[in-house]
Amino acid sequence: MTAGSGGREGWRGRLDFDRLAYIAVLAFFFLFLLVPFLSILVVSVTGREVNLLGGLLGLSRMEELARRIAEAASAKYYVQLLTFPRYFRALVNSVTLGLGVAAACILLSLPIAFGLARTRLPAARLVGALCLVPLMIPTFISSFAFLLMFGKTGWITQIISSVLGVQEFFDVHSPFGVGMVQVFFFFPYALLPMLAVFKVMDPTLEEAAHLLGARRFFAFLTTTLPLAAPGIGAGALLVFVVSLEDFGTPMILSPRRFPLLIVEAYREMVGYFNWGGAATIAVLLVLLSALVLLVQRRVLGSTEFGTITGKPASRELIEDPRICTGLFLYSLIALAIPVMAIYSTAVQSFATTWGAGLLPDGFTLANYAYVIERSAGAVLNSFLLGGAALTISLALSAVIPYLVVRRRKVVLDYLGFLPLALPGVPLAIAMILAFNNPPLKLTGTALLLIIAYVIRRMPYALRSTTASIRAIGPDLEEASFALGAPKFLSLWGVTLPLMLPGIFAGAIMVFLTSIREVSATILLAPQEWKPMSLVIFEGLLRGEFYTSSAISMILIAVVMTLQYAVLRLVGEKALF
Amino acid sequence: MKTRAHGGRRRGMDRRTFLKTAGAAVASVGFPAIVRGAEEKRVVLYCPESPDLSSKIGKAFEAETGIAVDVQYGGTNVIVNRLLAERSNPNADVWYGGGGLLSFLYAKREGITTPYTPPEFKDLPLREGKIYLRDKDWHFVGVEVFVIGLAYNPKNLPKKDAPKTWEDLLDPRWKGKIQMPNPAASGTATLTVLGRMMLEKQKGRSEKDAWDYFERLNKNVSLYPESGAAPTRAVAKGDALIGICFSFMPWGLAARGESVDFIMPDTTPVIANPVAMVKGSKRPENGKKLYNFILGEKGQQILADYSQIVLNKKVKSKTPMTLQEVGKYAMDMDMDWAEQNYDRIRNEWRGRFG
Amino acid sequence: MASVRIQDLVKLYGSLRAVDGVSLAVEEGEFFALLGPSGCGKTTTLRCIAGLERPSQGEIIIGAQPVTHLPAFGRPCGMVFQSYALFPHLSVFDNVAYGLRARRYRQGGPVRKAAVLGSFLSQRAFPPDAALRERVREALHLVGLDEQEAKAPGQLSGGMQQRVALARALVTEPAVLLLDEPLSNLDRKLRISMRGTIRKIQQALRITAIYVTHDQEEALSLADRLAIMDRGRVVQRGTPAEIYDRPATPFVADFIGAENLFPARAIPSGPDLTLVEAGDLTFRAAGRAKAERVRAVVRPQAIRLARAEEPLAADNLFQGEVRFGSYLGATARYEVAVKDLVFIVDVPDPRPGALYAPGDQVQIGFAAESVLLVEEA
Repeated sequence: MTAGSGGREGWRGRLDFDRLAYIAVLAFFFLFLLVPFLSILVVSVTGREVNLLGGLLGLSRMEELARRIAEAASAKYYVQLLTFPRYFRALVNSVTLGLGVAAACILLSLPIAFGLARTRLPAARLVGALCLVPLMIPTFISSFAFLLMFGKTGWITQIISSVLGVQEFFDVHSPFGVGMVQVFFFFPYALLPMLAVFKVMDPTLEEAAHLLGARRFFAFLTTTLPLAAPGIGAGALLVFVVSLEDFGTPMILSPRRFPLLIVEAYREMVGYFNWGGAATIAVLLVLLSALVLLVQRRVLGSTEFGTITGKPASRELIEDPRICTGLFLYSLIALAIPVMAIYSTAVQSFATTWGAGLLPDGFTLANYAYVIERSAGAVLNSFLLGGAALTISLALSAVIPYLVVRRRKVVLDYLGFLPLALPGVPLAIAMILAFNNPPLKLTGTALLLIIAYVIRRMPYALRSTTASIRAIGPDLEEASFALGAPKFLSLWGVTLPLMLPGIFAGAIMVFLTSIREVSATILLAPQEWKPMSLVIFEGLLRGEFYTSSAISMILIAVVMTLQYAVLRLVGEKALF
Repeated sequence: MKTRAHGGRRRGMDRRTFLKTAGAAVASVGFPAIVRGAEEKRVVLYCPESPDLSSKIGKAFEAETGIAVDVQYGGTNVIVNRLLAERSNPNADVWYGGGGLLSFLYAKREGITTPYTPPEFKDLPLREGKIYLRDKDWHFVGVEVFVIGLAYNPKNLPKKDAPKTWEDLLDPRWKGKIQMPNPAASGTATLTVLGRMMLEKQKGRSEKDAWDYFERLNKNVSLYPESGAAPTRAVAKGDALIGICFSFMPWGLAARGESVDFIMPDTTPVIANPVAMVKGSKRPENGKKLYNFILGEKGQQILADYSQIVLNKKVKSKTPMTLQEVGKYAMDMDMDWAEQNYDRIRNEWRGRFG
Repeated sequence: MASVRIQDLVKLYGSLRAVDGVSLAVEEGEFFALLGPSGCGKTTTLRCIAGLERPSQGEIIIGAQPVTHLPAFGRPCGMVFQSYALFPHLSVFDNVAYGLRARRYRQGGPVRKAAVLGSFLSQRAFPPDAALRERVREALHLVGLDEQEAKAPGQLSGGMQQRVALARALVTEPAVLLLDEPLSNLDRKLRISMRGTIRKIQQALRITAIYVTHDQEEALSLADRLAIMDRGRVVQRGTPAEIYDRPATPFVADFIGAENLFPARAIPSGPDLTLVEAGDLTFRAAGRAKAERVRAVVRPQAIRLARAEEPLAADNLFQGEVRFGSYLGATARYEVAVKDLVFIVDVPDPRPGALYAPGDQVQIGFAAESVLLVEEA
C-alpha cells in the first residue's frame, strides 16, 4: 500500500525517513553499546587500554590495533577470575545472593499478589500503592535506612532488645543484611508480574476445579500456581538480575568477607587501577545478566500467560474475612519496612545527633539549611542530567518501536532490550575504556554520563512505547495514507499523538530511574555535574549521615511525586 | 479536513523543526558544560580531603585571586588512579592531600608529578626529626602533619579504659567494637597497614608478623567502611567504640561539639600530607598560585581551623598537640620501602580481608 | 441422579436484577434446557445452581438437600463450560482424573493429601492406581476418546476438547450435569453431531441435565422440557412441542423463530372461530382468542404458494406479489407482499424450473388452524 499522494513520492518518503531513522538508531547503538562492549572484551583479554574506536575509524590504525591486541592477548584475567579465591568467591557470592533474594522475594510476594488479585482485600488501593514505594527508593538510601533501623544503635534493634532481651538482633553488615535490604526493596519486581498473572488468569479454570470437588487450597496448588508459573519465573529472574547489579547496598553496608562481583569490578577499576581485571569482571557480569534476561524473555513468551482464554469474565473475589484480614495484615507487615525506612531517613534528616535512643537527641532544620546552601546545585544537576537523558530517550523511544513493530526491525528489538543486561558499573567501565581517546574523547563530560543513562534506562521507555504502538493497529496509518498523507506526516499526525501517553510515561521513567542511579554515576560524573544521588552516596560513605539524609528526603520526594504522575498517566505496567 | 496537497514541502518543514528541536535539546546540555569556566580564570584541584575543607580553600583562593577552583573529590586511591588514567591528557593542575605522602611517592615514581619549589619555602628542611616534610626532589611539599591514632567516645568509653597502644587493640574485649577504614579506598588505612609493616621490620620481625597482627585485629573489627572519616563518625554516633583515624578527624568533630576524642598510641605513623603540581597540567601558572596559597598563611589558617597540625610556622595550630609533641610519638618510616611496596601490600590486604 | 428445585431465585449485581424471581423444577433424569437471548439470566441461574454465584435471594434444592449456602465443591454437580476450561498444564488423563483426585484429597488424611499433591508434580513418583485409571478410561471411552489420554488439551480439536470436558464432568458421577452453552464454539456440523452424543450419554446414564443455550434449535431438539427466559424471568416453560406450537408471548414466539408475526386485533366470531384483523387483511383463525390485542403468527411452512391463475383453496386466501426469493436448496423462501403485509413463505423441495421471480403475481393460502394467536405481553 503506497502513499496516496503518488507512488514515487511515497516511495522516496519511505526511503528517506525509515532508512534514515533506522541508520541513525543503529549508529547510536553501534557507537554506544557495541563499541563499549567490544572495548571491555578486548581489554579483558589484553589488560591494557585499547583505542578501539580510533582503530575502527582510522584504517591505518586498524593494523596496529590488531597487532597490539594479538600480542597482548591472553586469557590470564579470565583464568584469574576462576582461580583467584577472591574473584571466585565474588562470583559464587553474587550468584548465591541473587538466587536467595529471588526465592525470598517470590515467597514474600505470593500472598500479597494473591490478596490483591483474588480477594476483597481491605484497603486494596493503599496496599497496591505501598507496593510501589520500595521501587522509588535507591538502594544506597534504603540500606542506610536499614542501618538506622537495624544497625547496632538502630531504633528497631533497641525496641527488640528491650522486649526480647537480645543484645544484637542481627548484623546488618553481613551478607544476611545485604540480602534483607534487597528482599524488602526488590520484592515489587517479583510482585507485579505475579499480580498480573493472577489477575489475567482464566477464572473458569478455577471454577471448573471447584466444581470437580477441589477445595480452595487444593485448587490453588494444582491449578492457580502452575498456571502462574511463567509470571513467577519472570519475576524471580528479574530480581536475580537486579540483585546482581546492586551496587549501593554492599557499598554502604560493607559486609565482611563477602566480596561481590559488582563491587570488585568497581574496586578493580578505581581502587587498584587494574583495567584487565575490571574489564573481565564487567564482561562476566554482562554475560550473566544477558543470559538471565534472555531466559526470562523466553519464559514470558513461551507459555502465553495472559492469553489462556481471554474472556474477561467478572470473577468472584474471595470475601472470607479470615483470609482477607490475614492477607491484609501480612501485606502491611511486609510493606512496613520500606515505609519505616523513609520514616527513619526523615527523622535522621531533622536530627542534631542520633546515637542510641529511639529518637534523636535533638531536632533541627540545620541539615536542610546546609543542603540547600551547598547542594542546591546537585539538585539542579539531577534534573539537568535526567532531563537530557529523557530528551534523548524521547526521540529514540518514539522511533525505535515504530521501526520494530511496523517495519519488523527485529535487531532493534534486541538492541533496545539488551541494555537491561548492563549493570551500571560494567557499563561505566566500558564507556570509560571506549571513549578515553580521540576521535571521541568523552570521558569527563556530562554527555557520556547522559548517554550511559540513556543506554541503561531506555528499555523502560521502549517497553511502554512498544506496547502503545502495538495497541495502535496499522490500519490507522493506512487510512491516513489512503487519505493522501505521506509517511512522515501520518506518523506525526496520527501515530505519534496516539503514542504520546506511552512515550511520556516511558520518558518519565527514564528520568526517574536516572536520578536514582549511582553506580554508573560514581564512575562517570564530572565534578561540576554531581547529581543528588552521588552527593548522597559519597556523603553516606564519609559518614556524613545527617546532611545526606536531608538530601535523601529531597530525592525521595522528587521521585515519589513524579512516579505518581506516571501512574496516573499510564498505570502500573509502565513501571518496568 | 485539511488537504495534503503540499505534502512534500510540509514534510520537509516538519523534519527540519524536529531536528532543530532535537539539536536544541542536546545543545542545551552541552552548552553549560562548555561555558563553565573559561580557561584563564580557572584551576583544577584534585583533593581527597573532606569536600567541605577543599571547597573552603577553593572559595578563599577565588576571593583572593579571582581564579575559580574546580575541586574534584574522590578517595585517595581513587584520585591517584584517576591521575594515572589521565596522564596523557591531564585534567588536574594541583593535587593536595590523601593519606599522607606515601601515595605521592608512588605517584612520583609513576611520573605524574612535576618538581616545583615554592618561593616561600625554599629553605624548608627535608625532615624534622623523624618526620619528612617534603620530597627530596621537590615533587611535593608537606602542608600539614597527620597522625594515626584512635578515636573514642568518652560518653561510651571512659578514657582510662580506652586502649593506649596498638597491641591493646588485640584484646578480646574489643571484639566487634573497632572500625578501620578499608585500604582499598582509604589512605588512612593504607598508611596504618604500611606503618605496621615497617614497625615489625624495625623490630627485626618479618612481614608475616605484621599480617598476624592484622589477622588478630580483624577479629575485633566490625566494619571496614569506604572512607577514612567514617570510623570516627561511627564512634561519635555510638556504632563503634574505637575508630582508627587521623588526628584531625576526632579533633575536628570535637571542635564542633561532638562527643569524641583522640588517643595517640605509643609509636605511630606521623606523616606529612603534601601538595604537588601535576605534570603536564594545562594551567601551571594558576596551579602554582594555588600551591602557594595552600602553603601560605591564609590557606594554612583554614587548615588550622580544621584541626590540622600545620607546617607553616607563622600559623598557630589549634590542636591539643603541637608538631613537636607529636614528633615524640612518631615512628621511623622507610619511605622508599613504603613506596615500592604500596600496591603489593594493599593487594595482599585485600586478598586476606576484603 | 437427583431432582433440582429452584425457588424464587434472585441475583443482583448492584442494582441490576440479573435473575429476577426464577422458580423451576427439574425432574430426576430429565434433560432440561434454559433458553433465551444473551443477558436473560440463564447462565447466571446455572452458575447459581453450580455454586459459582451466590444468590441474593431464593433457595436451591438438589434432591432433598438445600444447597443454597453450600460452596461449589460441596455440591453434587458436574459442569461443562462454554470455553471447556480444560487445565492446559495437565494431560487429558489428568484433566479427567482431577475430580477423583480432589475427592481423595478431601477425604484423606495428611499422608493421602501429600500423595495426591505429589501426583501433580510427578506421575512417575506417584502413579495413579488401578481404580483411578479404570474410571478415567471408562469416562474417556464413554465420550469416544480412548486413545487420547496422554495428549495435552492444546493438541486436540475443539470437538475433542469438549468431549474431554464432558468426560471430566461425568467421571465423578455427579447427581446433576450442568452445561453452559457447551457447543457454541463449534462449527455447525460438529455441533449437530455433538448434540446427539450428549443426549445419548445423558440418556444412557439417566443423569439429570440442565443445559443453557441461546440456540432455539438446539434447545428444542435436545430437551425433555425447557424454560425460556427474558430479562431475568422465566417467560414460558413446557415441552418443546408446547412451546413451539403455543408460544405464550410475542417474545417467545419471536425467539422460537416465528416469522410472519403480525400485530392484530382479534374478534371472536363463533365458538371456534376468531377473525383476526392484521393490517388491511382479515384472517380466519381456529379457536378462541383470549384477548383483543394479539400477534397473529403464520408459519412459513404452513403457507401454500401458487401462481395467481392456478386454482388454490384454503381458509385464508390472498393475492399478492413476490418481492424477493432465495433458493436454499431444501426449500425456497419467498417474500410475498399482500396489501400492506409481507409474508415469508417456505416452499419445500422446489423444482428449479418452477421458481418464482420478483414481480410474479401469486396467491398464498393457509388453514385457519395454522394461525397462531399470541397475546400481547
